[in-house]
Parts: sequence; structure tokens; C-alpha cells
Amino acid sequence: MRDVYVIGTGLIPFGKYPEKTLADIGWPAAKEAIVESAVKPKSIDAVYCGTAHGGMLAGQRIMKTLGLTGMSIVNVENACSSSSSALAEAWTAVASGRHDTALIIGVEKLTKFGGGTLPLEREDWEVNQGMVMPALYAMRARRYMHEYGLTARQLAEVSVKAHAHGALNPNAQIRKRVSVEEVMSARPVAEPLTLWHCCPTGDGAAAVLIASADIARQQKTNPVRIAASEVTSGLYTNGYRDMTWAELTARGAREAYNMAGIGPEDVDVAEIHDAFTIAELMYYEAFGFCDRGHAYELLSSGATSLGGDICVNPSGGLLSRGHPVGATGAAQAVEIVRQLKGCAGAHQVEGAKIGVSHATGGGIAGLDHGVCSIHIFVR
Amino acid sequence: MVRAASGDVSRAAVQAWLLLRDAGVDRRKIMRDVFDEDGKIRSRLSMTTVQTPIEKESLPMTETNTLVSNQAAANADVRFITPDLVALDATGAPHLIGGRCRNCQALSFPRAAVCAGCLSEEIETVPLACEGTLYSYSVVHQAPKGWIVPYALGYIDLADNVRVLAHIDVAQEKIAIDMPLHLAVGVVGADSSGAPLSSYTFTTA
Repeated sequence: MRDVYVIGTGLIPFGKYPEKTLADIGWPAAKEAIVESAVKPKSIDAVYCGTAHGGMLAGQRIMKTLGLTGMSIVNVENACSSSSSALAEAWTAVASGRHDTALIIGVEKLTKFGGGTLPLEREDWEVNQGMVMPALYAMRARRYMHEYGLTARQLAEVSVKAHAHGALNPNAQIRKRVSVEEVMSARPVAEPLTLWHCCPTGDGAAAVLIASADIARQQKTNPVRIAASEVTSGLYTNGYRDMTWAELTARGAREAYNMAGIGPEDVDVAEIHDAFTIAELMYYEAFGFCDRGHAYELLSSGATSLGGDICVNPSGGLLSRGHPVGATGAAQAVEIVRQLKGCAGAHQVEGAKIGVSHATGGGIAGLDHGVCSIHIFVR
Repeated sequence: MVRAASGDVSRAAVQAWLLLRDAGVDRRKIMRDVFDEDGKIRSRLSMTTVQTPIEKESLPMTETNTLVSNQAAANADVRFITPDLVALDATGAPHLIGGRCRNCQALSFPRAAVCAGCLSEEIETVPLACEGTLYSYSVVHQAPKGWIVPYALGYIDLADNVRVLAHIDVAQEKIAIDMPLHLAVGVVGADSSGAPLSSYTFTTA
């Protein structure tokens, strides 16, 4: 397998665009990545478009707006890991030599649902009993609090950090700081999670262009290399499962670290799947940034905030940057690449050399999550 | 006589079943279409299909045929949102309908068509344990249309090691992780016309 590099990134400000179509919000991100790479647009070998609710032929609808079709275009659905999975597919295509360049797009318009909890798969028996994603995470939180003594106040601090970072990110959907009191007194969604414990619904699009070493060599500045690319799915059980341990992410992280030849202590910056506050804490443990039950200590030490050793979600994460489901994976990749290139702006992590992006797609009965996709980037 | 206020037919129907049980009425005739000679579930009929009326002669006679009226109420639909998952036994108590693989004995809920442990398709239909412990829960305030919010949702670890998601029918301030619970039936929502929908629930003794 050949080395694969990122040569272009693109992102639109995440927010609500109810009047726009999917293609309307997708093409600007795609074009930005293509222009940044300076490759001839018509030379792009393949497009992989990740979207969960975008409907048929989302990639084609975006690319025809730019007058760029004819190459292989494949659309990828993997719930919240859609564009991370699209990146993994594209990476495999370029690493194997099948293609020399590939454009990855992540795009989603959740405003088409009009608000409220996202519709889950109607065929899922737990959904038919009233399961909603906030409830699933709330039950994880409740059990974690029961086993490790985490308090609601401590959990709220995850949201405070996320929004403090997001306030520095002009592309974030929410750019407002919140206090612990505001988080705790907001309206309950699924106890103990209040509104500020949950990522907002919205729209967004992001894109990365990846290429082989030969093409990447022509870039003006050193391109970032993708050192690991992986996709795993949750293990099914209908019996006891430890809901305080993110088994899927733990397995995925091990695979990714092995592939990149690094360990958790080497990571400088990470964009991980903080769809709900408890998720961030559980993922610190699954990634090996700290021991089980000690995630809050890591958070409160400042290690995962800007200025700390392992900055988690400098963009504001899903909680603050937003979580238009299919767009998130690509947006995380864009963020990490820009961090490693030193052009992240006000929320720059100084001296970042190794970065991780992580997205999990849920939820279906019997699995920790449906899918987890992790990428490791190095400068 | 169980009065059914408008919109509350299913609650009344459940009460009627319980009254019949407490009155010692032999309801085996009702159940003959559902259970075979060994008491095993013959087929996965929902409560809505158990329509066989009790012959009047088998009932304790009353002046006003109130028990027949109750039976009529009981035959009225207790509409389960997922009728394949729960049934009533000969005494009217609810059971979760699970599966057990003939090859490897693995239990499944809902009853699997193919065993997730060994791929066998030889799956018996079996009732699952009615008792369990609460693994975790959440009181849900925001949900799709049709649910009565807020509702308490929880994962219950049954005595036979299957984990079940269910509505918890316990006062919110009394719900606690690791509490023992047992299976019941309750109204949890309404369909688009406002008619009540029931499901299996878990509650305290």
C-alpha cells in the first residue's frame, strides 16, 4: 500500500440552511478543497460522498453543479460515520494504486426534519419501544455516574469546554460560551442530559482531497500524511453489556494505533465523537488517554483543553461545531489537517504533529455503536 | 363493570383481564387458539387477535351479564405497539416472547429467525423470565410523536441473562439502578387517531 496525503481541504460554516439544497451547501466545500490543492479539477479520479440522510446520488448532485462528473462517484452511508467511512474507502483506493486522487465530501441537511430527535431506523425493535439517541447516551451516563461517582456538575464541564473552544471557531454552529449553571439548568432532553449536553441539529458540508505521493510532492507546502485509516463495527449481544466502556472505539483505536505505529501518548490533537457530553469522557478512556474511571480527572486537569497536552475537539466538537451527521467525519479530517498545517486560526493547537479523527455511527439495538471510523494524520 | 372513559379503552381492557383472573374465571377456552396442550405458545398471536368469546354457560351467572360486558371490554383491542414481543399466559399474566436456539441454547429477544450465535434456524419460541434488575435508565422528555412524555426508559437484565429495553412504570423519584423489577403491561403512547397503544413494562411488586 502506498502513502496517501491530504492536498486540499474545504468546509462551510455549519449552521441552519433550510432554504438551500444539499447540492447548494455541498459544492462550496468541494470547490474549496479542489482549489486549495491546485490540481486540475478534471484530473480527479474518484469521488466518495458520505451522507446519512441526503438521499440518492448525493455525490453526483454536488459534482454536476461543478461540472465535474464522469469519474467514479460512490455514495457512502454509515450513519454519523458516513464521511469518515467515505474517507476510509477513498484512502484504500489511493493506497492500493487504483486511483491517484480522490475527493471526499461529507454533507448533511438535518433541517429537512424540522427539529427534534433524529429519526432512527423504524425496523429496530428498541426504536419501537421508544429509544432515542439522547436516551441511549443518558443511560450510559447514568450507569457511568453510578459506577465511578461522576456528578452531573462534572459532566456539565465537558459542555463548558466544548463551547469555550467553539467560541473561537468562526465555522462552528454555536459560538457561545456556556457556564456549568447554564448547562445544568437548561431543559432536560433525557435525564441527566439537558439541551447543552447534546449536539445541535443543523446543516453542513466539508471536503478533503487526497492523493498519492507523486502528486502530493507538487504541493507548495508539506502535505499531511494519513498514517492510519480504519473502520470497525460493534459486536452484537442481546445480553449483558458494559455500557460504561466504549468497546467499539477501543478496538478501533488499537487498530489505528497499530497501523500508524504510535500510542496514545503520541497524540497532540484529536477530534472525537462528542455527540453527547458523556461520550467524550468515555472516549478518553477508550483511546487510552487515561485509565477507566479517570476521564473527569483528565478533563479537569486542562490536558484536553487548548494549551493542554492532548487537546480534544479544538473546533468545539460535535457539541459546539455541530453535527450534521454525514458531514462530521469530513469536517473532523479538515480540522485535524488544518491543525497540523498550523492554519487553524484562533483555536490553533501549537506545535501539533500527530492528530486523530474519530466518528461513531449509532444506534441500533444490541451494539455499542453500529460503526466507528478512525484516521490518524501526521505532519 | 369496568367503565371505559373515552380514549381509555385499553386501560379498561387490561383491568378487565385482571378482574377475570381475580374472579377465578377459567379462561382456557379463550386461550385454546393460542396455547397447545403443553401450554406452549402455538403461534405468535397478539392480544388483538384473541377474540374467542367465552360461552355464557361457563361464566358465573349474573343478573346483568356484567361479566359478559367485561369480556366484551376485554376483547376490545389492547393494542400493543409491538405485538410480536409479548403475550398473556393462561392466567392472564404477560410474558415476553423470546427464542431459544435448539442447537446452542442461546436465547434471543425478540425471537430471532436465525441464531446469532451459531446461524441455526431451528429456533423455539419460549417465554422469557419475568423478573430482572434495572441496569440503567433515563427519563425521556423529547421523543417522536405518539409517545406519552416524559417516560422512563430502562435496560432490564432478566433472570435468564437477556437484556430488555422497556418503559419503567415506577414513580420517577423511586427509580434506582440495580432495583428489582417485574414484567407488566401499560399504556405508553397513542396512534395518530389518539387511540392508546400499550407495551410491556417493568414495575415494582
